[in-house]
Amino acid sequence: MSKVVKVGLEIRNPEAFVQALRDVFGEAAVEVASAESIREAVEKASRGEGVARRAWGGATFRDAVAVVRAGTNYTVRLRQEAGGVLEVRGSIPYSDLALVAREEGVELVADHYTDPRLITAIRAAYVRRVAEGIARRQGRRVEDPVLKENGEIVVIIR
Amino acid sequence: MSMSETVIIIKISPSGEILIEGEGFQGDACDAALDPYVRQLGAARETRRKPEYFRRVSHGRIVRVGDE
Repeated sequence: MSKVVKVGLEIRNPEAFVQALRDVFGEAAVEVASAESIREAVEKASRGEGVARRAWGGATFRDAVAVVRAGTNYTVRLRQEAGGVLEVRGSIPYSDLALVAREEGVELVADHYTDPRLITAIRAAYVRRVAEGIARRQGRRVEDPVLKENGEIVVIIR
Repeated sequence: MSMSETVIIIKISPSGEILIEGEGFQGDACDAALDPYVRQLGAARETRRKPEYFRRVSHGRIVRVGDE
């Protein structure tokens, strides 16, 4: 290794994040704010004209760029370092899972009871989508993410 | 990994921390390869350079600084 950089994940590419949500939940399960582009959807959501999302206690906010509704079933398959595939099944608990527009940028909002493995899998899908765009320009390729025993997901770009 | 192969590894921890590592690079080539990933994924909090980063590449050969 010649360099290691620790990064605080920020969603700087909302389009890639919406694609990642579709990768994880399927196209039909992801509701996106009606707009010409994701950039415009972010602008609409930041003005309170996005998709309505239901938060804890039943409160509704119209600040979402994209939403996966509470109760949506999911199955996430992760290739394991030790061999085989881990299947994580469940459903979105209580509050809608949403990509929300804030003044400082967009962020993922999930219910406290959401399976942390699902959140990690969404992050990994986002990292993969972002990495694929860059890797293509570099003449590289992105391998399937691999789950390690410690819960870490590794994405290798060759 | 072959001697000439360069690899970029992105690790996502369960807590959401991301580590981006370059393997097999020498010198500035590592910055050029890793920077787009760092810029698009968030804000760099800490950077650690490995010994081979400081190996200078000159006319296609590797000069190890400090070697006799």
